[in-house]
Order: sequence, then structure tokens, then C-alpha cells
Amino acid sequence: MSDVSTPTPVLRLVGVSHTYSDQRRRSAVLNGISYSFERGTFYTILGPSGSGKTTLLSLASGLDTPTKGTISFDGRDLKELGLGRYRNRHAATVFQQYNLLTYMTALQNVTAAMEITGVKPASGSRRARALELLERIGLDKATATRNVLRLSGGQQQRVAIARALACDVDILFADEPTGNLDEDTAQGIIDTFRELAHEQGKCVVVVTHSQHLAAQSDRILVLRKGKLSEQAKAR
Amino acid sequence: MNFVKRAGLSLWARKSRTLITLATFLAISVMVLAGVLIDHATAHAEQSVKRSVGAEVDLAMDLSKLGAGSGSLQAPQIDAATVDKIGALPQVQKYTYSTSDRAFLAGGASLADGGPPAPMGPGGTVYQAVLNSSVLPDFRSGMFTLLSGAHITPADKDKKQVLIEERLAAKNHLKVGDKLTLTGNDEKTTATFTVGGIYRDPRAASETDPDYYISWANMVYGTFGGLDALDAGSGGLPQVSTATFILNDADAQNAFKNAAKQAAGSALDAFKLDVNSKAIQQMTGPLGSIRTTATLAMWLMGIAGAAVLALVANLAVKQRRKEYGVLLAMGEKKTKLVWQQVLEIAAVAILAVGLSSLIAPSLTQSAGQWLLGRDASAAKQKIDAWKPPPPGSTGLGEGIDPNAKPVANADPIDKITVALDPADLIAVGGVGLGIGLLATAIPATAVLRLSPRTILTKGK
Repeated sequence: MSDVSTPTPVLRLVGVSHTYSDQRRRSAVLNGISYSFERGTFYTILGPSGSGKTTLLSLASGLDTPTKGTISFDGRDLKELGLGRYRNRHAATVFQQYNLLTYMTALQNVTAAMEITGVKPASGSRRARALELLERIGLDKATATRNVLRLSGGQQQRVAIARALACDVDILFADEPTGNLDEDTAQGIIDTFRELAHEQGKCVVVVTHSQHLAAQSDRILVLRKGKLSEQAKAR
Repeated sequence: MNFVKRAGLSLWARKSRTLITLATFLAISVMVLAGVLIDHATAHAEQSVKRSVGAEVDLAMDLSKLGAGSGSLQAPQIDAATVDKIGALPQVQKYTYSTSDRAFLAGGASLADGGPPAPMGPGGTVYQAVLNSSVLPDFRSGMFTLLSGAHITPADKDKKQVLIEERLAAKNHLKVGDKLTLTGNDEKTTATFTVGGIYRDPRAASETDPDYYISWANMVYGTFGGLDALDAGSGGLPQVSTATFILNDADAQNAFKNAAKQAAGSALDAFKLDVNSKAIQQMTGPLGSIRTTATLAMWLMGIAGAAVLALVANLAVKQRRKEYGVLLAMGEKKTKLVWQQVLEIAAVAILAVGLSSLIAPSLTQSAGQWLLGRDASAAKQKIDAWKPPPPGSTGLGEGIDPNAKPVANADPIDKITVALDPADLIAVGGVGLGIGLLATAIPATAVLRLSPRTILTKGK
């Protein structure tokens, strides 16, 4: 486990543990994780299935609260900041299952997210900005105006990514974002993440099994048996 | 206000669910509204009947008090002046009182044919003194018809005037304005009367009055002045044995009874005031019947509909669990999610109630009319089928209840007019919306208590 101390970590996990319990048993998934994520950095988290990657992502993105430990954004405990406010203003998540609003078109999914998070583009309308983002990840206007249920898995995944990008947050979390994409599109998405981190100063955290994706990130974290460690990148 | 847009999109995109919810809401609204409309229409019709018929209150001796105190079994009497005091009460529209005595046709006049053989002696009949013949129950019910001349009115009180049945008039070739001579109970005092009117009693001449056993055709109605003329030496205030008061408002019965007791004092001790609502009951019976049916149907359908609606809303919330999770994951406020749900339900409810306001009145008019027509027809058949007991019989031996005798000219109401009151529409809409919101709010609250991660990963 590595505890990288930086002067201004955007996201800091201190002693984070998480246990799932039901009537019969308790199952510890994360065990005392401490880590600081920085702005302008593209992170990937690797780990075998069931190692708790998605749980870690859920806690870090404010979707749930840890059983033990604290998570803070810009030095403020998320509990104090408010998980809803944190998710609304500072963190966005691309889910493995896409989790799109199925009664909307691709475009409406993106504009709805912008409305909810209160994002107003510097120039043009939300619709124009949403179309631009969708086009950037390979969805033309005709596809963008179709109901998401009529799109392929890969197209839905791209809509989910565009929706997260549209929120213009400080930290972008993604759970297997390129799993259903072809090689070219996947590379386009990776390039977008790198650009977000390096040119816009965002913190991008991606959970993946893909070594190819991990190789293109700035830092690779490995989650194994509830512990998080940083893996040195091969030069 | 993005949740408003989302609500619209959700309703439009989930057309099947929206239509099912709308249909359920519509069914509930129409049924409940129909129940309310029938209830109001029947109540209105009943009120109209009460107003048109008015309430009839009869003053009659109280048999339970007969003989009390004095030990005498003589029928009590009350003087006319006391009854006039009661008649002057503000609740009274018109009134009459009566008393009777034996009298004999004189001057060559003879009884109508077909009656029993002179039960009161040759030419013997009954002189029924009345204040106002038009208020007599048989005239009011329409059983008696005035054929010519005029009724005996309070203005005729001191005159010597009679009202006779057409068969007695025909037998003696009498017409309005002719003279009829009668002898009093003492069989000596004689007076000559003017025939002021001729009426028709539909009963056979062989049918007899149960008190004196004279043919109905020979009954003579006359003024109190006439009775006084036949009763030489009686003097004093005229005494009456029965009286009938017609009230302005059927609902004023209790107020009238209290005021009458106050006005008459102890003079009323041996009497009772009975409300005769038989005509009203006969006319409004079918109304009550369909009101009961409609109310029962309204409750059954309302409860069943509410249960279905609750189920539909509950399922909808459960199916939208993931949507809630996604929206919460984006930081949407829980209150806005609730508002979105409320808006969706409200939009459907308002549309359903609006549609029901177009459908329910005509549907209720048709259905209510059909139900009422059926019940009124059955009631009318029952009335028409009633037959009086044979002459000389109380009817009890033949299984005929004399009290079940229908009131003539009081056919059951067979028409209602359904009118929609906006207040009813608002009430029904409010109840429907309340059910919908409650059915949505309970499962929604249960879901929204969870974290987005729990919502999104539940069951996976």
C-alpha cells in the first residue's frame, strides 16, 4: 500500500475499510486503504475479479459510505460536504452497466446530466455541447437522437462516457469503460481521458482489467485482498 | 425545473404504463364520480318531491292515552279555535279539520243506489264537517276528483254548503247551486244546504265507510256552519276529532310539532301529531334503492380500483429503482425525484378526472335512468297490483294489509337529472390523486432511503 502525500490531493482516502454483511456472514472487501489522488493525473486500478475494485470506485465516487475510514475531497470530509453535493458538483461516474435513463435519447441523457449538475457551456447551448461530446466519442446526430435502448452496447457505453464528460467535474471515475468498445473507439476514449487529465487538470480514475489501458495511464494501482498498492510502470 | 421535462419524457416514453395508469385512474374516477352524481341526483329528486308534495301531519287521538286520568273511553275532541292556532303557525301551508255526525236526506231526496240497506235508518248518511275539503287526503292524493263547483274553503265556514258525490247528485238530479235538505241526528232539526260542488269517488257504491257502514257514494261533506245548523242547541265552540296540516317544507316536521305543542298546550294531551310521509315514501322508494346500489358499486369499484392503482404505482416505482439510482448518482436531489413522480401521477390523475367529467355525467344519466326506470316500473306494478279488501272485511283474513294501500297519484319517480358540480369533481380528483400519491410515495420513500450504490447493485 502506498500513501502518496501531495500538497493538494483532490481526493484522499484514509484508513478506508468496507464490509458487506448479511444475516449470515460479514465479508470484508476493503481493508484500511489510504491513498491520495491528484489533479491532472490519469489513474487505473487493476485487480482480479472480486477484489473490490468496483466497491472502491463506489466509495471514492460518493455512491456509498465506507464502513470505516474517511474520504475527503479538497480537504473536506465527504460526509461534511454531502455525498449528493459531491456527486453533483465534483465527481462523475461511468458505470460498467452504463446505467442510462432508458426513456430518453442519447442526447437527452447527456443534456439531463448537464441540467442536473447545473453545467452551462461557456458558449452555445447544452444541446450543442452534448452533440459535440457525443460526436467526439463517435456518435453522430442521428444516433444521438435515438432512444438509448435502440443503441448497441458499445454505443450505450459511449453515451455513458459522454454523459460523465458533460458534467465537467473535478474527478471522473469509470468502471471498465472500454470493455464493449472496438479497438479504435477504445483508444479514442483513452485519449479523451488522457486529455482530460493532462490538458484540463482533471483527476481520472479508471477501474479496468485491460493492461493496454493501464499502460497508457499515469499511475497504476493494484487492488488485491482488500489492499491497494501502486505498481511501478514499465518503461 | 428539469424534473418537469423528465416527467413529461417519462410519461411519453412509457406509453403503455401511462395508458394503464390512466385507464385505472379513469375507471376509478368515473365510478366514484358516478356514485356521487347519482347520490346527488337522487337527493335532489327526493328534495323536489318533498317540496312538491309537502309533508302532511295528521292530528289524531292518541289511543295510548285514551281513558287516562278520567277513566272515560270517550273519543277526545279538541276545539276548532285551538286547531286554528296550530294552523296559523308559520310552518303550515294549509290545513283542515273535520268532525262528523249522523244526518238524514230530507225533502224527498234519496240515497244513491247500490249501497247497503239503510244502516243508519231511512235516508241516513254521514255529514262530514270540514274546514277545507281540498286538503282532505283523498282529494290531495287524487282519489277524489272535483267534477263541478268548488271546494269547501275556510271562507265558507259559516255557510250552509255541501259537497256531494256524483252518484248521490245523479240520483236526486242535483247540480251545483241546487238545494238539498238534511235533518240532523236528533231527527228533528232540518236545514237546507246549497250544493257547492260535486265530486267523484271511484269506489263502488257497494263499498262502505268502515266507521258508519254507509256507502261512500252517500257521504256528504259540508261546512261547520251547516253542522251547527243541524245540531240545534249544541252551542259553544265547534269540536273536531281529526285535523290535517300541510307543511311548507317537509324538513320542518319537528319544528312544527314543537311549535304546535307550544301553541295548543294541554289541549293536545290526548292527541298525537303523525307525519304521513306515505306519498313521499311511495314516490321516492326507487330513488333510495338506486342510491344504495350506486353507493355500493361506487365503494366496491373505488376500493378495487384504488388497490389496482396502488399495485400499478408500486410496480412502477420498483421498475424505476435503477432510474432513481442513476439520477441520485448524478447528484439529483431526492425532493426533485419525488416531485417528478408526483408530477407524473398528477398529470395522469388530472387527465383522468378531466375525461371522467366528460364521460361520467352522460354515463350516469343513462345508467341511473335505466336503474331507476327498472325499479320505478317494479314499484308501479306493485302499486297497481294492490287490491282493497272486499266490502265488510278488514282484509287481514285475505292477507291484505290495509296500511299497504298505495297513495293515489303518487307514482314512483322514474326520472333523475344528473348535474355535475365542480366541487364534486375537485373532491373526486383530490381523492384519486391522494390514492395515487400515497401508493407512489410509500415505495418511493423506501427506495430513496437507500444509497445510490445499493439501489444500482441490488440483486446483482
